[in-house]
Amino acid sequence: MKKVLIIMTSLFLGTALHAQDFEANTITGEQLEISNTFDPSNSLYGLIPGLSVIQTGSSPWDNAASMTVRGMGSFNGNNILIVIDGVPGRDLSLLNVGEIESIKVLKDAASLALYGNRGADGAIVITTRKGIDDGLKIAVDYNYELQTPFRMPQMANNYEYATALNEALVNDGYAPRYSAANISAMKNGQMLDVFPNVNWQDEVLRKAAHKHEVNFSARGGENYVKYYVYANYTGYWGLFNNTDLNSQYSSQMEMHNLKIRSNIEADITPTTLLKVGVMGKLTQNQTPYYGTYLNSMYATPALAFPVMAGDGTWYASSMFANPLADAVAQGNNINFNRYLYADVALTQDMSFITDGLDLTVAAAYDNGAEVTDTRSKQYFVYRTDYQRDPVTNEITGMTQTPWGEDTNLAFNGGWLGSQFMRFNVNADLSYKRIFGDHNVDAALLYNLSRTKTKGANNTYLYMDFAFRGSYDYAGKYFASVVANYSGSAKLEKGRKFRLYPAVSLGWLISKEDFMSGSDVVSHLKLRASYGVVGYDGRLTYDMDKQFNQAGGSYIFQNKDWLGGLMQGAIPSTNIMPETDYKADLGVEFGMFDNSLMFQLEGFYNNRKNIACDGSETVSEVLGVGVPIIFTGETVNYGAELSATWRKTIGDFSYNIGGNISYSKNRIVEAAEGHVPYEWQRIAGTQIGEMYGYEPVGFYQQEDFNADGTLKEGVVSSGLISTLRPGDIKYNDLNEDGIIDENDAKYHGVSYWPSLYYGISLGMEYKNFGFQAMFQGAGDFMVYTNLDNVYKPLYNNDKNISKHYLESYWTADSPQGRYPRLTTESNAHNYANSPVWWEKGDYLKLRNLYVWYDFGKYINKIDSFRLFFKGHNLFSIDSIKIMDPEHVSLAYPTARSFQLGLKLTF
Amino acid sequence: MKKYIKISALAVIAVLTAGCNFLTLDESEYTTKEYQFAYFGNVKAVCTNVYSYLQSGFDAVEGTMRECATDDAMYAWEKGGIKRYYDGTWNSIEPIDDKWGHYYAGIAAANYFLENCPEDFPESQYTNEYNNNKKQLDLFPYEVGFLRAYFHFELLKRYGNIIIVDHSLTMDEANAMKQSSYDEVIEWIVAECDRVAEMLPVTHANTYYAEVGRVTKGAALALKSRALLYAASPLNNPSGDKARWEAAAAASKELMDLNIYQLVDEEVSNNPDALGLIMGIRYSDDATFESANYPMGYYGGNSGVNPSQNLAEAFDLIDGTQFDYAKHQDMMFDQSARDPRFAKTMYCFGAPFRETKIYSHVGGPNGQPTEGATKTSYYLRKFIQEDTDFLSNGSAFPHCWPLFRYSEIYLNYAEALYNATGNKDFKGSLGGVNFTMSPLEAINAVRARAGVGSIPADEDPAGFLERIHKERRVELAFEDHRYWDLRRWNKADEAVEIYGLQLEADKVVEGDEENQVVSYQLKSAQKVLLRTNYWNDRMNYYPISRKETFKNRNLVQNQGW
Repeated sequence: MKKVLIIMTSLFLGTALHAQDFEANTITGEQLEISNTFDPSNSLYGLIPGLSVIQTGSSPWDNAASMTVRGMGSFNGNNILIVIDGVPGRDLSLLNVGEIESIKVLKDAASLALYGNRGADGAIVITTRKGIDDGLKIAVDYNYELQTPFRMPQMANNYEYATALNEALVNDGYAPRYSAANISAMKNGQMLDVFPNVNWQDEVLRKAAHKHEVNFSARGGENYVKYYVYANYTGYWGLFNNTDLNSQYSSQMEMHNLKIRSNIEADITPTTLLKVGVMGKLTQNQTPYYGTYLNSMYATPALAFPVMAGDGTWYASSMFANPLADAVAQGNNINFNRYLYADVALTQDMSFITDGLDLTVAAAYDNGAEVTDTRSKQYFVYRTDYQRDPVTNEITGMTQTPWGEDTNLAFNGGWLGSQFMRFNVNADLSYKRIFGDHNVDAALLYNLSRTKTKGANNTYLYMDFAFRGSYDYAGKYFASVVANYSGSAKLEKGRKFRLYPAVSLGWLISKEDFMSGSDVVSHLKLRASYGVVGYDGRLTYDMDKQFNQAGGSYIFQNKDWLGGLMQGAIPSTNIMPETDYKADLGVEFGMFDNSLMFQLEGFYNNRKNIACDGSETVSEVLGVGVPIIFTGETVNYGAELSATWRKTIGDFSYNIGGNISYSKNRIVEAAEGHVPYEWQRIAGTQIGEMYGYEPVGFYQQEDFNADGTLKEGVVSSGLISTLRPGDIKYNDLNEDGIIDENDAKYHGVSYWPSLYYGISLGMEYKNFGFQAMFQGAGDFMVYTNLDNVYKPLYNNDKNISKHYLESYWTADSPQGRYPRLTTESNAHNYANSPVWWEKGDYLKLRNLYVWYDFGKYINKIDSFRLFFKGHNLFSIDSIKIMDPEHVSLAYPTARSFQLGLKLTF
Repeated sequence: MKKYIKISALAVIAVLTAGCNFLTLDESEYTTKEYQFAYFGNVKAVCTNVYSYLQSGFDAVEGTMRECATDDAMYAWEKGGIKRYYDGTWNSIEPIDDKWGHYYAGIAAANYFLENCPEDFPESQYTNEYNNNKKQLDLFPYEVGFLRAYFHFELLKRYGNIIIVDHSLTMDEANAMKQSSYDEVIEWIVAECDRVAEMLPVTHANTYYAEVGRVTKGAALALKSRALLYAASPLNNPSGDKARWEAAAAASKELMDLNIYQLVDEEVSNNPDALGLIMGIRYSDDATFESANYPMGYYGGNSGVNPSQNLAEAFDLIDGTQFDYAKHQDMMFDQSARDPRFAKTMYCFGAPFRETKIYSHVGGPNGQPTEGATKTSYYLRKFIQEDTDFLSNGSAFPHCWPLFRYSEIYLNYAEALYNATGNKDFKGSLGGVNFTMSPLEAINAVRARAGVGSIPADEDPAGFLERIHKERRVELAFEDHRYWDLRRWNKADEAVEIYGLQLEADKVVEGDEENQVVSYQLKSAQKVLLRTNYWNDRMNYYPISRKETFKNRNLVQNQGW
């Protein structure tokens, strides 16, 4: 049955095709355990060449990283196909790292063509763990994890805020709010009841969050049965402070997650293998009703008001909410999520027809639902305002006005957030045989897949008929072809199927006689592939039909709305899935018995038929919606290099490895209309390229006449009515003397890194070992246009950060990173420009794993490890005050420290 | 072996055939065009959709009222996009209130209806409602015809040079259409109004469905009156052609002669049953407008539209004497001494508001320096449903936006006839029409309705045109007229300075410690210039969005943009 097993692991859509592949694109569960994150995608940083993984979220549980395979090919989005145990479209986030056997990234047409209409953005193929041939292995581990905010921007204290606000008001031509005496009172810590100095971050958040995790697995097998059983409990208690002020609910971020998997294989006849796999996951997440976007924590100044009055009533004001009350006094949301993945597969050895023929039929059914139960309330506050001396206008005290009301906790009874059902069938008739030096491996593959989520037109139906055939001669010369006749329900009637072909060739030079004598080169292989892969996931249904639908309503009498019917957009013709023409060239190189291994791959992808909005070229006078057209085109090219060096010297072994990926894309066609100036043309730019004005310093006092008007010849602004010294000066690209939209341009750099790399270092000595993973990204920008932190004070309902105060324009020091302070929403200064984005490049220590194994000292035990794991321990970057991957006012990202024990026997 | 091949071949064929069916999914909720016009109910819904393009002025521009871009009011939140109207940053790259697409969509919806609406549903003739439905069906094309003309007028008053679209366009056609001149568009609108007015009933009140909000003959004639008035106005009639004013006066008279509507002392705000309402947009219970415009400092209030001192002074004294700030300062906030419309239009200091009073002095509960509090000292009263409550369960009330009121027709009449004759007392025959009411009588009829004293017959006629303009300003305040009126009068450049009152008041505490009653006594008022709006003559018309001029090379941009 060994042969069958090989096919099983490569069930559907052939990992078998690439059995000859070098291992760089595949990682094993052991490698993932080094990081052991709750969401497996967060364990993939820097591990696989060509796979860029960026941490865009910060939620402790809903935190799938953003991933791209070889950068981006479409300007409409990027959706990597996830295949779990042969089932396309499953969700990586539902797995635990502990149950993963291997993860493989598919990048080239030869491997992706089998995914037809789903594969163009790349695929990640995951296999879960299986039983073993003989015996029983049990592993139990417990981890405790402490998480602290990675970085949080420090906001101004009361004195700094008041001084900055005064300066901003004066800059705008208003009277300052605080008198000199008021300011000095703050500086000296006097009148704290009127001029408090509240550190809202300390009020709202505590120092650390906690996570507890227990894993259990049993792998075994004897005679006809093999099994793998896995269970996990993970509990998380979040960063919020003062979460139990109300006895009716807790406003803490809290998660309980329970996971069970069982994979069983049984030889039910001597030629028949049955496999049954079940995965179940239950989670319960709790968040404050206010949510995890902590805007008010940053926006409310230290000076705004004290936390609460002596009688326990919250304080607030007309401009600022009470951040602590927001977080703790409004109730909470609890999500109850359940998921089930079920697989069954039957493999029949068909050698009674001809040797090497096998048939596998597999079916999978998945189901999941997320239900949110909400309890909410409103709270009563005292609104504070200043009391002023009528003569001097100096602030002398504080008034408080009752405002709003405390309401009872309202329960909504739960609403269905999302749900899905997935049904998948794979059939695989494979033929694998060796005739002397001739190796033949061919298969007919069939896939049927149906996924349904909530609501209309959210059913996704696919059907693929594929042939793949590979041949090699003496393990030296490889050739394979793939043809996939791939159908999708989203395509027009009568044109639902597309053919996706691919070819690949390989030459294992190191097996040639002339190389066989080499002591140095142990492995050398060249390979190349070319093919076509599609993607239809970003199309919507019925694009070929005029979607006449409910229109506007109107009242003709009393209060009775009457519904309307309207004409839909003009339908599209010739609907196309995105079509990617992918070329790939690779070299694999191993030296010194593969102690040193290199892999270099280059690719050139040309994506066509990208859907574009046709309205850029059709006048609104038409009065109805304009069809989507399929004329968009991009090219995307790049290379990946990876290298590893492993060496064992007696008790001591070490390894060093790394990979670097580079990808660059260019939009060729985006159905733009007329473009008045070349620097505004989208064609020729990268996907997600930064767009905005080009700053060239600041307007200075000498640019203005005494009456505040601009001097003759100085470039004026069409974005704001009055410029003042300290406003940003932009390059007048079209030289018409005024800054307007015509002067905004593309800046040649995107928000998505074109450079991505990982470096791993490790060593083992006797019972001790460590492994470290560094990961970095380069050549991209991060938007730093956050209110309060980067855009302070405007509209008077914002705070200011210490970061801003460090470098901005003032009359005394007329330079700096940021423009003058203002209380107005300055459409000129706050327009998109490099002032509001920053170099995103970073290098992070993603994981550090240090262990000591007592196992050798204890009988009958394979290993008993005490370990420490750290995540995101440091970052070198230009952002400095926030996580460069997460410039946001949301719940902070974590730096984490894990301590654990793992027993294997 | 052959057997297996046969079986496999059959299996493959079976799967392939099943595949084609498997990939057929129909979860769509769309309806075919045939379906949309197949039943009376659907045809009615297609017609209703055309109505839905009508827009109120409650949140006309960037969430507030267009008056905030005139000398009638300020928007409490300076950040608001509406400031682009008056701060000089308005341009064709980023237009404001760009309704080009909206109204052309409305026009396309109208053409879609007109081109596909069946004349009858003979197969339904034995159903109960057939006769009643048929009666409605017969009128739909004329209602939609009016709406299409109205949408053209909405475009015309904004953009000046627009494209007449009287049929469904193809994409190529849409990209090549040419603009008509202002006068051609007016001519087309007037012809359309005449065409539909002939067929439309004066009211829908006594019909089976009693859908009184539908277009009537009165609405069509009111649009004609307004269109001709705009066409006769100085902006669009630079040569001062008197015949245009005559035509406008005659159109107003045509409607007045129908004797359908009445000028009576009634609630004009949010009153769909008003005897003087020609056409209005009804809304169900909703508190959005109150949330936006309730006084700052009152729970749930966001200040929104703050009427200006300029407007406050435009309200006469109750006896009809013109208010003069220098002379009548003591009567500034005396609601009983002023034109009753003053109290109905704006809350001044001390005006009763729900269970309290408005105290908008500096440092007061509704005054500066509270962020967002009024700088003018006034809050908006008109269209506010004062019973709206934002606490606990809250409460909301319906609104009604007047598109045409009978008062406007009188004001149109007075303005047109006075401009045509230069005589405030003119009566008699002109251009074949016998005008039996003088401009002065028309104005005084409006004033009588409002309960304010007449303009004396012996008042110096030199200021009469000013009187007409002022009457229009106060009677139609916050009904989205001022912005357009200033422009068509070529007077927008004179209305750029916005004033407010800066008030000081003393706190008065009455009652014992348990039941303190706090009030404020006005101490002083100072008139302050709050803002000077940017003005350029190009702003008489909107710019056409630059994007549109890129798409249609035949489009000519408005002058100065």
